[in-house]
Amino acid sequence: MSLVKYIKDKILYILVYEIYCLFMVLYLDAINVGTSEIILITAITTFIAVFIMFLNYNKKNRIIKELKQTIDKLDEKYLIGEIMKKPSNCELLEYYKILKLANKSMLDKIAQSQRKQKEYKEYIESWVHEIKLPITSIDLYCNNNRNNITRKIIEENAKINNYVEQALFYARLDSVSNDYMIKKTSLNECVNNVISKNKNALIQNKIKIEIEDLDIKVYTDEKWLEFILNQIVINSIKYKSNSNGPIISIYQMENKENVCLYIKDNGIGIKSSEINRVFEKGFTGTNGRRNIKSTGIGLFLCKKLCDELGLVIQIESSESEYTIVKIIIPKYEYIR
Amino acid sequence: MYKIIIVEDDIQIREELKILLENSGYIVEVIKEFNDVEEKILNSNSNLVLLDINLPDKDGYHICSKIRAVSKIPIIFVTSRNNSMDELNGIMIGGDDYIEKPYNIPILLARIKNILSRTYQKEEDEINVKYKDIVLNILDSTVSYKESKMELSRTEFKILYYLIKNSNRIVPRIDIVEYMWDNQLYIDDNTLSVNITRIREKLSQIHVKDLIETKRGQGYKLV
Repeated sequence: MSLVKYIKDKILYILVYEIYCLFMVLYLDAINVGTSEIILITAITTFIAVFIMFLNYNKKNRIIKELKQTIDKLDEKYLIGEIMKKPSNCELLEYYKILKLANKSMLDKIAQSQRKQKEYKEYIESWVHEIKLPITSIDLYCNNNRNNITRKIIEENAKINNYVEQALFYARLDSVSNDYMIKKTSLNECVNNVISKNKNALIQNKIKIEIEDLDIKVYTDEKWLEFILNQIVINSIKYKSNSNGPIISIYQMENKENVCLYIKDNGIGIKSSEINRVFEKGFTGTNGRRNIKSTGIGLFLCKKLCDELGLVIQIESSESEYTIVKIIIPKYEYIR
Repeated sequence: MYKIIIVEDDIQIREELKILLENSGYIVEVIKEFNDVEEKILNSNSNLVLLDINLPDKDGYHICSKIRAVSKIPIIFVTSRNNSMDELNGIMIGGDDYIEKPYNIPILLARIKNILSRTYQKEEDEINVKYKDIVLNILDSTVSYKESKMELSRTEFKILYYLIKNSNRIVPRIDIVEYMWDNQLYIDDNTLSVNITRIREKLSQIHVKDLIETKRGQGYKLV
């Protein structure tokens, strides 16, 4: 609050005061008070008026400065009403009360929406839990009665299961940090589990799998890593090329600090103009539009979960030639 | 033969799981009433328990800890709850393994097999598989007929093993391919043909002729 602005605000008072002075001078002059007395009286009155105004300005300025400093320090600025000092000034007190009211209704709204979000998340979790039962029994029925039709059903059922898992991981994104368990994990087992999950789709699509020596243990959350790998393998199946025999090769390279896991396919690839955006939520790109089944969620979740787990995920591609997804997993000494 | 007891309240899953395990060569008992589950499990003389966590009366953790107080019978938790705390809980309370629904069937069977052989260590695991006079030796991956012996590659061995195990029926090619995938041998249809040819060659070198018959459009059958 600058002084100039303050004076501008008070311009009406000043004007009224000027007019009062003018009338006072005229009146004093009319009743024959001497010029020097008039000057003295006017000077004293003006001095007092200016002094009061200055005091007033100073006080308000101080309060506002304090308030600004407090709000600057606050992370959640909407809480200012809760911690500001109760002013003694009756005008400010009214503002204070109004602010309090506004704040309270805001806090209620926030609490309400947080509660709703939590309820929704719990609902999704229990829904996922429920829907996994019929998914399991469908899988069992089909496996106990294997023929060409049930094989197709198993393949579709696996897709349903993946969408359900995506929903679960998405719902948990905000609270992921309290849902993982880092333990010694066999990379080989993880990869083979993912292949096994997609066995039917891979065989039906005549996709060749080449796995090179993955005999290495890493420290990470097995379930998350499998989910991440699963998204990548599903993408490789979805975006396979129709011209050459599709191959997915999985291999690792190791250095002192990291294990790098590579998943390479010879599918349709990703345009170089789009490659930087594939981890964005909802990004489907040219391939996604050509292939209506794309949701733009899979890789987004991969990136989020990798960030959370301290893994690095990178993607490299050449259109209609290949796509390589690289996941860098730190060896356990380096886990943050 | 090992006996497995299933504690699962979803009827469809329970019945189909029973069929699956019976087809895999286990004796299976199921629990249908969920009062005194611990008693029923302990009295059943089973070698392994498949235990669901969400049950009508008491939950699986409770049952598990009750059993652990008196018995070391292996327990596998099978559940659709899948956060890490549940899993940790299950292991802490004395479960031997924790498998999420929907389970991957080959993985479920492999884990059951592992735990059983780890716990009982009875050399019930077969070393030799016989079909007529033909013997497959699992330890050194060979096939022998009378005096002669022949080494097989892992893929060839598994194919022959599967055919012998299913010698009572015509085995569709896709069944063999899927079985191989379940054993981490990712072969395709062409590779299967190549391997069958190689197996036939090797068999003829040890004087076994025309063992594997091709049923056009259907698959293979041992004669």
